[in-house]
Amino acid sequence: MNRGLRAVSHRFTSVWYRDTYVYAKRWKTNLLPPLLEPFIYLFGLGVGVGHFIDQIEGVDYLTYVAPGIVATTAILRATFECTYGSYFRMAFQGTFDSIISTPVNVEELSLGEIMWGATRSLINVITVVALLFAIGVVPIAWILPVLALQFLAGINFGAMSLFVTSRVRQAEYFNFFLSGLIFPAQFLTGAFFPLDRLPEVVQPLIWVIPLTSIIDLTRGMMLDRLGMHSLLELAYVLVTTVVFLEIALRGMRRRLIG
Amino acid sequence: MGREPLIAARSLTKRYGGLTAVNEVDFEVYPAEFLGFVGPNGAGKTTLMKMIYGLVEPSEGALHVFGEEVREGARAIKARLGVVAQDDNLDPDLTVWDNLMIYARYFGIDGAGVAPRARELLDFMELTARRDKEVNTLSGGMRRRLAIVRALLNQPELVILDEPTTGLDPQVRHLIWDRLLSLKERGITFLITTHYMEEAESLCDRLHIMDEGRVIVSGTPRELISRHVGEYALELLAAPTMEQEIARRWPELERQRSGQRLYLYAEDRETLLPLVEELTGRETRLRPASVEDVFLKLTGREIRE
Repeated sequence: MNRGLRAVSHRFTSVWYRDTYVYAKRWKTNLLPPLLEPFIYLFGLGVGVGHFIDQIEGVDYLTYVAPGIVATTAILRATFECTYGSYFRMAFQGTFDSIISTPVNVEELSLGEIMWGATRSLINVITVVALLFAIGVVPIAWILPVLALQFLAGINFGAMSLFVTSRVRQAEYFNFFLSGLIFPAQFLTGAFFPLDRLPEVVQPLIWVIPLTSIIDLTRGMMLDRLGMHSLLELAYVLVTTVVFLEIALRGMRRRLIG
Repeated sequence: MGREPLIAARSLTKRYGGLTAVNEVDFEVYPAEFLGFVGPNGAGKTTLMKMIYGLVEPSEGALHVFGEEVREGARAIKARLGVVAQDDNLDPDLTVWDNLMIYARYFGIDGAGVAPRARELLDFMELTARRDKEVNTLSGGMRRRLAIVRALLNQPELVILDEPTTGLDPQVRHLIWDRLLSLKERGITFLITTHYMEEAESLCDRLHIMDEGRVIVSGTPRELISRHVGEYALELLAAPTMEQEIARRWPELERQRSGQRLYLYAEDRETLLPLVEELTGRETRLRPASVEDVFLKLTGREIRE
């Protein structure tokens, strides 16, 4: 019997459709509050903190942090959706059990959840990028590649998060993951200041977190600074995405099938 | 029954660490029959059902559904199965109608094609007026009826109902029983678990009584009653000294005690009548024996928790 990604058919789209449908039903309450966050970061950091910074790596501070805010928006939405969101549907609503009693298998259910997390990321990222385009921070030619990369980032962190969800016994345990990894990563992986400000011993380690590569790639696209190292970063994001998907799908099977 | 069984289980076993939830169970389900599993809480009924619809993997033994091994053929099996789980897991984020339309998608049934069938089933279960209501606003009885409608969307050959009427009022229970029996007449096969003996007796062609993971007896409700307790029961309040007296004078009667209450069983009413006369003035109740008597005799009268 196939396990992991090899067990997946097109049926994962029915789970994705379910989550998207529920979101669309309440789009006003779903879209607006989470959107405030990146705008507050953009204003607070770009305009507020940026006032005190002349230039950073040759650009003004707003231009420097914009790619970081785009990428952190992408990974945070998918992370929340595939931790608390998925856990709620799994543990309190019985939604997962009802879905896997149909021809949809655990792997398709899991992939559907992850793809939904990435979709939700994309919805928020699109509005942030639209604003950045309006104020002239994103070059038009790079809009689509930037969005595609954020979708990939959403899958990467959504899969990592769903793996964590497959292991937690109570929702409180997400605090370890969020406060211990996700929130520190948001600030330490190059979104708000260059990595060379980190202690030298930490610098190589920080590249283990895929967000570091995602931010550098996003910045490379938006500031037109891509190079050979970008290919390596993209490869790393792709490989970790496949690994996270594989362990998330297997973890959920272990969790849901007695 | 010479036909091929829809479900065939051989020495089916499920262990969780040191606990054996289902222990070497053998059974078959044949087309168009209504088969029931009854047993106290923790007897292993739900685990057994979940092995059939793929939420639990067997530890040992063989389980074939529609001729396919459960693990190998899981997807094909579930396409032909209807499931009403014990904790009705309707989608609380959706309305009644959307619950059906979204669920149909999991089966790959296209929305427009399934709509007439969904309308017909809502009507059948008397839920048409609730069509556009959020699921959270429904009563327990409506939720359970909706769970049954949902389980029938894919035109299943076999429907599994895990305690379908637990916690419902008598009106709803009777409505559900009536609808299930009319579906049975249309050729649908049912597999049900319950701890309401009245439900088991009125719905099921055959029963398996389970206790501590094993099937302890099987048969039609009538067979079980006549084989294990006899056709008639006499219930009375009786102190132990009185029980001794009765045992001395009517040693042929089967006796059961539950607290203050004594149960006596016999093959016919006439055997018990002299006793009733003897006990005139005391509170006695002479009645036909039921599956509940069989159940309590075989699984004991102490509380299971």
